[in-house]
Amino acid sequence: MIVYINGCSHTKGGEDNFSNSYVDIVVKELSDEPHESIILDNGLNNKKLKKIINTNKQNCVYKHAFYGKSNDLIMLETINFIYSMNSLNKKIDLLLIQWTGVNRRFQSEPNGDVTNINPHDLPDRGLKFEPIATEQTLQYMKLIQDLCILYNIDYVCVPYMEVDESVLKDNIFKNDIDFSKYTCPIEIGHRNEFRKNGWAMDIHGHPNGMGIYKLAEMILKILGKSTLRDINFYFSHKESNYYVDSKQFELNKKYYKELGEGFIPKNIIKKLF
Amino acid sequence: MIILTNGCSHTRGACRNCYEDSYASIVTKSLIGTDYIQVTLREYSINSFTFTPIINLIKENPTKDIHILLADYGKSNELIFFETLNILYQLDKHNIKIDFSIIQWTGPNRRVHSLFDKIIKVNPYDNYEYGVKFEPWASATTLQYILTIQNELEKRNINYCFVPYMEVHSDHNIDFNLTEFLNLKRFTTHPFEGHRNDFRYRNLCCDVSGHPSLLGNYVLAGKVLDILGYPDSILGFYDYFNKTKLGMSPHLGLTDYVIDNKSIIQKLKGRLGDATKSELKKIGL
Repeated sequence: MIVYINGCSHTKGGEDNFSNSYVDIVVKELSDEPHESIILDNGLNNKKLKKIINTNKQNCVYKHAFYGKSNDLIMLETINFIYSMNSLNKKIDLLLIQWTGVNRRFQSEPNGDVTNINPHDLPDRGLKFEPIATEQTLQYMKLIQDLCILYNIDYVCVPYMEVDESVLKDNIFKNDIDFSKYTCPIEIGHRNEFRKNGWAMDIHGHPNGMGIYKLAEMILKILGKSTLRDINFYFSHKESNYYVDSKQFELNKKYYKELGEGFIPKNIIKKLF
Repeated sequence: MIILTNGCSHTRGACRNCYEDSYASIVTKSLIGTDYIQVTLREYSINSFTFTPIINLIKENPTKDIHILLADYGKSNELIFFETLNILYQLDKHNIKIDFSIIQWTGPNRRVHSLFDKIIKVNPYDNYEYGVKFEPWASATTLQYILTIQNELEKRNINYCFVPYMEVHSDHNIDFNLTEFLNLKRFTTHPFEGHRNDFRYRNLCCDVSGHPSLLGNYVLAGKVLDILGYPDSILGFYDYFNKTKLGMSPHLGLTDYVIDNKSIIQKLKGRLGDATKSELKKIGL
């Protein structure tokens, strides 16, 4: 099975901090074969990308998620990957996209590098504001959906951060997006719910072991496979309860709606306790 | 019949600030005559993503031919992509079919930037302090926008033409495999070539920025009509321009500047770029 996943730190972070990321769990449940993880660099370097994907590997997971990524970059890279695979006559069996905060964007630099701009990194260079922020993300959702249908790719989307509800309400093509392929309503997102339920490991709302497990469960349900083994099969007890008893959880639970990107100065956090 | 056009100032009729000078207007009049409604973006807020007034106008005039001319000064491919996609989605919702579409792709370095209360155009002339796009990302993203809009137009069975007025940087994109998916028969020139430098060389521009002169627009209109499948339909040059509201300019839209510097422009065609002040200074103009 060939699997592709893209997203931001809310996907990549889990992979770095826990013995399994949600895509690993999904793949374990969908196939008995071992799958190789292939980490892809940020960007649209097709010369490099084609070298990596032009192999006879039948079982691999292309992991493209990275810290600070924007939906702009997630969309461009995903479309690029789909076309690159297509040009080599290769089929993607499953595509997982974790949509991130709509206000993020990226900026290309004179030296050819790319800089992620988001509420944490270089916000002074200008974030995206509404309504175009949500409008563009909705377009990306529709475009990726249409490409997956065109190339017969099974896909699931994880709207980790919520989109702006008022912009969504006024959007004219939202009903053309197949939300049955989404793990939750896009105006709600996972971040706040995960904070409230203790499934996040920090104020930014990154999923802890339980959060990762829940995401995998939701994805598998959409794919028609509802049986998932016990969480202890995938994580140690420490991992599955990561941060759950800390003050962090109290803060998350109390202010889950207000935390947004979780950008709160430490002195204010101290005052809260 | 409904025609949808998008692009930047190079499709806006910039030399005399006159929509009628645009090759898109020549194409429209050549295809459907003079009895049509022209809707331009200037009549609507750039922050309105619903295009509801345009949809309403089409619905209120079911028997009229309409040219939706969204081209405007300073636009980026990002905004051209966003708007074109949005209007296509919205027309779908109302079961309105576009008959022809002309999309002019502009400089890859341009982008759109949102502020609290509005969106602004960022390009080598305007608001560049917000950061233009650099290569190889600029060209790579432009090629993806082009390919995506191509697919959307073909999916809807719309007769379309792409005008890549500015060149996409090919040196960065030799291995950029999206080009193999482009339907180059629908392009007035190869996207790695563009029209701007060629038009400068052939003196078909009205300024150093490379905006097409009246003759340049006429040449483009001929190319577009060829691609749309109406090669013999173009109106006569004098027939068309003598009927525009500004009539015929003594220099056919070519400014004295270009005529005086014709040889320099021709010689420096490849180095003029966007012809910003700093670029002109660098090459001694």
